[in-house]
Amino acid sequence: MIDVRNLYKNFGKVKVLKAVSVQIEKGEKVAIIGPSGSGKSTLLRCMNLLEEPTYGEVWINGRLITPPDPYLHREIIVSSKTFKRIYALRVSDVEQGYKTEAELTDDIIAEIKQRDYLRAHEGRTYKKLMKNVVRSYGENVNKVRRGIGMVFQHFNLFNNKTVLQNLTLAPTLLGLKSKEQANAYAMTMLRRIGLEDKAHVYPSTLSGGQKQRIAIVRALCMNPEYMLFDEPTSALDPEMVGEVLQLMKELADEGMTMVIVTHEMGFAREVATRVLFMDDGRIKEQGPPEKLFGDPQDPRLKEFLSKVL
Amino acid sequence: MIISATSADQNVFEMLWKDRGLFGNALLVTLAIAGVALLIGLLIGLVCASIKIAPKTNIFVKILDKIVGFYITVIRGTPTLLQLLIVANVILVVFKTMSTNIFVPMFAFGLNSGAYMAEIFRSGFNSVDKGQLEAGRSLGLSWFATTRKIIIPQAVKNVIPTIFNEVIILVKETSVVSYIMMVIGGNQVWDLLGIADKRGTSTGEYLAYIITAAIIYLVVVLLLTLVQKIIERRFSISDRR
Repeated sequence: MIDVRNLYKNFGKVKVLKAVSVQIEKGEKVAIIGPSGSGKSTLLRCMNLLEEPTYGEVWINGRLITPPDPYLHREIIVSSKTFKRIYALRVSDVEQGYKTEAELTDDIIAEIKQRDYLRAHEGRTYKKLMKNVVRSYGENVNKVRRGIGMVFQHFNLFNNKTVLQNLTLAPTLLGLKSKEQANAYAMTMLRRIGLEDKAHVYPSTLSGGQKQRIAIVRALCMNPEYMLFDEPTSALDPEMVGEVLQLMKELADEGMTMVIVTHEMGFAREVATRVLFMDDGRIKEQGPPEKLFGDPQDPRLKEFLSKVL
Repeated sequence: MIISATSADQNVFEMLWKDRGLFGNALLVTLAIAGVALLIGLLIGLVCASIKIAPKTNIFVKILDKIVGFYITVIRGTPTLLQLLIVANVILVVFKTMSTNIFVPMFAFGLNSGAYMAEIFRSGFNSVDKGQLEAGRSLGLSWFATTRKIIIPQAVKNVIPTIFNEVIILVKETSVVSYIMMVIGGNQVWDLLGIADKRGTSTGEYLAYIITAAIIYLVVVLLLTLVQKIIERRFSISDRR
C-alpha cells in the first residue's frame, strides 16, 4: 500500500500541496486529474521521493521513506522543548486552569502545528523519539524505489545507452539479475511490444511512442509492485498516444497497481478504479470514475470537466 | 633581443637545424608539463565538479563545497604566471633553495587548470537533462551510480570541445615556465620558448628562433585539433540516426 499522510510541499513561498492524504491499495488503478499547477505531478513525485515533501510522511508497504514528520506523532510533539515551555506557561496561568490536561495538550499541539513552532533543537528525548521512528519504520529510499516503476512525460531514456542497455542497466547494476537473465527478460519484454529489432539502437533514433513504450518496459524490467505514470502521453504526437495507452491498459488488465497523472479523460474513465480530482494543492473530490465523471459534486470539478470533456 | 645580420659563412637554417636536438628536448619538456598538468587538472576538475553538483545533504559535503568554491575563485582570480611564481617561491622559502625542478610547473599548471576544468565539467553536468538523473534514481540506483553510469558519460561528451580548448590554452600557457629555472639532477632544462629565447639571444638570430618555436606550437595545436575531431566522432555514436 502507498500511504500518503498529510503531505505538504512548498517550493519557496509557493504552496503546491496542502494537507494531501491518500491511500492506494494493491491492485488499484488510480487516475489523478486536475488543471495544470494543481499539484498532481508533485504528489506523484512525492510517492517515490523524487520530490521531498515539506511536511507529511509517505509510507510504502508499511515502511517510512520520508523523514518522520513530528506533527504526525503526538508523543513526539509532547516531548519537545517548545511544548514543555508552552505547557508550563499555560499551567501556571490560572485563567487556563479550568481545562483538563488532555484538552490543554490538544490546544498546544494545534497551536504548535499552526505556527510551525518546532525548531531544530527540541531536546534529547525528542531527538531520540524521532530516531526511534526511523529505526523501527524507516527504509532506504533506493531500496523502496526498486519496487516502484516510474514513467515520465519526457521518457527520460538514457541517451548514452542502447535500448537493451536501458532495460538491463538497473537490474544488473543492483545485482538483482545476472547479465544473461536481464538480457533474456529484456528481449522478452521488447518482443512483447514488438520492438525487438530496436534492441541495439540508441534512443535518439526512436519515435516518441516507441520511446515511451520502452520507458514503460524499462520500469517493468525491475518487476515493480507499483507503477507511477507522470502524464505519459502529454509529450506525444496524437497518432502515438494510442499505442502507449494500449500498453498501459494491458498492464492494468494484468493487475498492476497503477497511479496515473493524466489528461486523457477517456482513458481515466475506462481503466481507473478510482479517480482523484486535484485543484489548488488539495484533493477536492475522489471516487469511482462513473461517479466522478457522471455526477461531479465539487464546483471546480464541474467547471474542469465542462472544459475538457 | 638583438636581430643581427646573418654571418656570411653560417646560414640561419643551418643554425636552426643544428639545434634540432635542443628543440626536440624542449618540445618534450613542454609536452610533459602540459600532459601531467592536464591529468592533474582533469582529476581535480572532475572531483571538484562532482562536489559542486552533489546534493548538499550533509555538513561534510557542504564544507567540501565551500573549499572547492574558494579554490576556484582564487585560481581564476589570479594570473597564471603569478601562481607559478608563488609555487616556486614557496619552495624557495621552505627548502631554502632556488633550484626548482620540472614537477613545480607540472603541479602549478595542474592546480591552475583544475579550477577551469571544474567549471567546464560543472557546465557539462548541468547540460545533461535533469530527467536522466531522475530516471536513474526512480529505478533505485543511487545518486553516485546514476552519476557515474549516466550523467558523466553524457557530460564528458558535451564538454569535449571546451576541454580541448582548455588543453590548447594549457600547452601554450606552459611557455611562461621560462620565467622560473627548472633543474633536473643538477642540469638546467628548457621548454620550447625558453630554448628559443636562450639560443636566439646567444646566436643573435632571435627572430628566427622564436618564429621556429611559434611554428612548433602551431603544429602541436593542429595535431590536438585533429585528435579532438577523432574523439568527437567516437563519442557521437549515440546521436547517429
